[in-house]
Amino acid sequence: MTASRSDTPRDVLPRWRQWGLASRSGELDPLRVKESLQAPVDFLAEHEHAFHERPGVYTAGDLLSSAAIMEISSPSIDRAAEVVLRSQEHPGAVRRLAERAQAGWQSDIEVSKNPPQLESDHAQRRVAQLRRILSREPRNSIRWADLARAYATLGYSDSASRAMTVALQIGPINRFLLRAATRLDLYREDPDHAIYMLNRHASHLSDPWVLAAEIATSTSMDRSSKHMRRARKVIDNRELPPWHISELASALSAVELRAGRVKQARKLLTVSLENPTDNALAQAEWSSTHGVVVPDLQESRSDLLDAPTGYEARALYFASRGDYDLAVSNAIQWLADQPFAMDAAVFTSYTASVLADDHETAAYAAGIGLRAYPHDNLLLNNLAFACARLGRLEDAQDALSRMRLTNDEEMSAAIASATLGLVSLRVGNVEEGRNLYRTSVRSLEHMKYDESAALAALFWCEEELRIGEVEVLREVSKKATELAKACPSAAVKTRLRKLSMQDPSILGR
Amino acid sequence: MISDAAENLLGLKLDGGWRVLKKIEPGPTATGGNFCTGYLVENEDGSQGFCKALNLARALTSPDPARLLEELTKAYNFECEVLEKCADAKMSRVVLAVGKGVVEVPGFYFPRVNYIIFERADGDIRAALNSAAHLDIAIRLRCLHHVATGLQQLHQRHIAHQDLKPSNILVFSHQTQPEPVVNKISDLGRATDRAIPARHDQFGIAGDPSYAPPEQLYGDTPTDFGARRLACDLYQLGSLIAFMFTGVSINALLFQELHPMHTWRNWTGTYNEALPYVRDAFGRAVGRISSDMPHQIKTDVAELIGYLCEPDPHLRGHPVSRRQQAGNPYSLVRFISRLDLLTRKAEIELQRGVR
Repeated sequence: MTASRSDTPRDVLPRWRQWGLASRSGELDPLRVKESLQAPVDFLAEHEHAFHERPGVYTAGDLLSSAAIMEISSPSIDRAAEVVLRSQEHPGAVRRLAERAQAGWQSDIEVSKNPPQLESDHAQRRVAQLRRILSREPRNSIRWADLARAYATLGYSDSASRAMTVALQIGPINRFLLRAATRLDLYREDPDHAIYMLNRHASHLSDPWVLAAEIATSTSMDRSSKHMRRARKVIDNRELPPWHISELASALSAVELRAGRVKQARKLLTVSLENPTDNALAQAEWSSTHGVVVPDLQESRSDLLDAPTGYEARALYFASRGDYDLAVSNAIQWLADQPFAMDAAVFTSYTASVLADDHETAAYAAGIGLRAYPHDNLLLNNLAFACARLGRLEDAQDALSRMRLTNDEEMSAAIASATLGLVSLRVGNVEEGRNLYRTSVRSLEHMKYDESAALAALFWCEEELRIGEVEVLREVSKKATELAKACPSAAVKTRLRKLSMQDPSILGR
Repeated sequence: MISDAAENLLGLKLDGGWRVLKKIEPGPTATGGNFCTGYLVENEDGSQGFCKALNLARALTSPDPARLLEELTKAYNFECEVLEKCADAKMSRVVLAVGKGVVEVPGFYFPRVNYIIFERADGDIRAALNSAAHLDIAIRLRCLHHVATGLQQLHQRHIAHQDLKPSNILVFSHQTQPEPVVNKISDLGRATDRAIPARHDQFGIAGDPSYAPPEQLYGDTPTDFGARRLACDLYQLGSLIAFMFTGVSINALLFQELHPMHTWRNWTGTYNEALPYVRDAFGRAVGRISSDMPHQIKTDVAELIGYLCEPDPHLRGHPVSRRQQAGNPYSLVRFISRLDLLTRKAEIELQRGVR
């Protein structure tokens, strides 16, 4: 059986995207808007004069180069652009500049409509490409951070750490680098280093984005940040635009929620939703599925969920609505966006398997997660389950053999027992499989994991339906129905519905 | 009605045997903006020059004439002093004053006009590039070699130009051997001399903002002479190299590569915070222009631009010069040698018929 981590609180850990996506998302924008600078009256005079006197590509290039500095448009600029574009034999750079001038200096940077890519050869190509760039530009800290991310995507944690160390050593350090390094430390399960680093560059903590990262990291360690007062002040003062404090408010809401102060959490979530980041939006969605209803989210959810990178929020929302195919398609994009995020891998593999019956995607997502966390028992179990359901029994057995459960992981052991039961039944060891399922259901019941117990019983029932021994099926279906009635969660209802579709009489047995 | 003496020098004789031949219709000049009038002058020996006449009378119509007069006078005197220093050092790659003085123009309330006469050029480098789209690589490189040499001559005398741009690179043809065409740096109006204070020393951007280095555009002002002044010259030399081969300045390329919110127009943080973004944009810009350059030199030229236009002014310059404990990290010697070598290689290839 597959497992999720639905009982684990969500933290507003900083997203770590490659540079281009991060800059386009707006999370690297300056905190304040600069007053529009007016170019001095004679700013272009000399350049315009030269162009009028000797119109040609180079006088035009000189004029366009100067106009670009202040983004000035005028009939002279248009004429200069025309001169350049008419000439066929001149370098691309000046032509690109002329085209930009003709477009009124509008940026040609477009938000990519393509969802992020997950294939490992894509990440490997990215590593090779970044290494080529860095051989030319060894001081490009942005690209070193991107290289660290590409390594992390492939699960090369130490290489990622080395690349990030270089990025931070080159300096100067800024918001992008600090947040990326924080996320890497969290991936490497070294939050202490993240806290040390963030506090070492204390001057950056005046930036609400960096402050949010510090608070979220502390919260994930079940510690209280020493910057809570400062953070609350930033929110209360409201001197910064809502976009820039969204993530900070969201991180604070997570703190309040953990402390059980729901009213405070709701207030902060409301602030975070004024102009939310995709991370804040996901936090609000997660909170709403955990009983904290934010009116602003209910009112403008459809608009908010349109955010280009709101994969996680959409996945959570569609899952809560029972729209599992959409939940899975968004979850897989969330995983592609944050391939080193354990939550993304677990959520995707669980939702795909248990709720959407999309075992191919479940196995794929678990495999991606295992690249970053090769020894994670939950992901190994989910991979084994998905493979077994797909009939890839050797892969399932291989995944199960890689699990290393300790004595205090009773829940994981019980779930693994169910998965092992599934594999045994599929292999043909019917009695062994039944025993394992029976043990699993009992243990989960005993530990009061009612939903898991019901799900294990329902999956067992599906297997018995396939085997077709009436007596056993009757016994198992009775147990499954009983447990399902005791815990009518969305997942249980879904499995029950799927079971009854396979055999409409099953519920009446 | 023309009432300024400086506008009426036509036909007058100036000191040193110069005679005013023709008024050059106003093209804005860097020093003094509209407070200078240009003339074509000819010497008794047949040589021609460019005369810049200071129009102090026009300053009297400004809202604060006293202050403007003071500024103009200081700027004029500063330029004269720096030019004298350059002449004393016999700088061969800097446009020098060949005469200066005061001329009296009868019939005006303020009849005395200060002027400076410069060597006469054929035009600036933009015009030369315009008229010869397929200008040989060797000629372009030789021009850059001359400019780098001129800059080095200034730096040796502790003068930073700070306004190096295509319009300030003048072409002098019909020169005597060994080089038939010589390029020189002109307009020292915004230069900084360590020994002579000038009003524009306090400006965040001393020269034309279009060609100013990024740290100045982002409002960052290093304090030491090297990082603030010499590094600025290095950046502008690198930008000139890019312009010679692509027709675009490095700043324009940066503008195209930077995210709109990270450009100098929108950034409200410190330059240090923006520096990783600028450096990344710069890397991409150099990558892009490399593909525009002739293949035989693109690696070398991209490397030179990389060193000269490094966005961090404290790291700008040739890495070997930077590594040396003694000496000037902003030294241009290695760049001059490299440009010379590239030029000679290109000349050999040109002789072999490779363009």
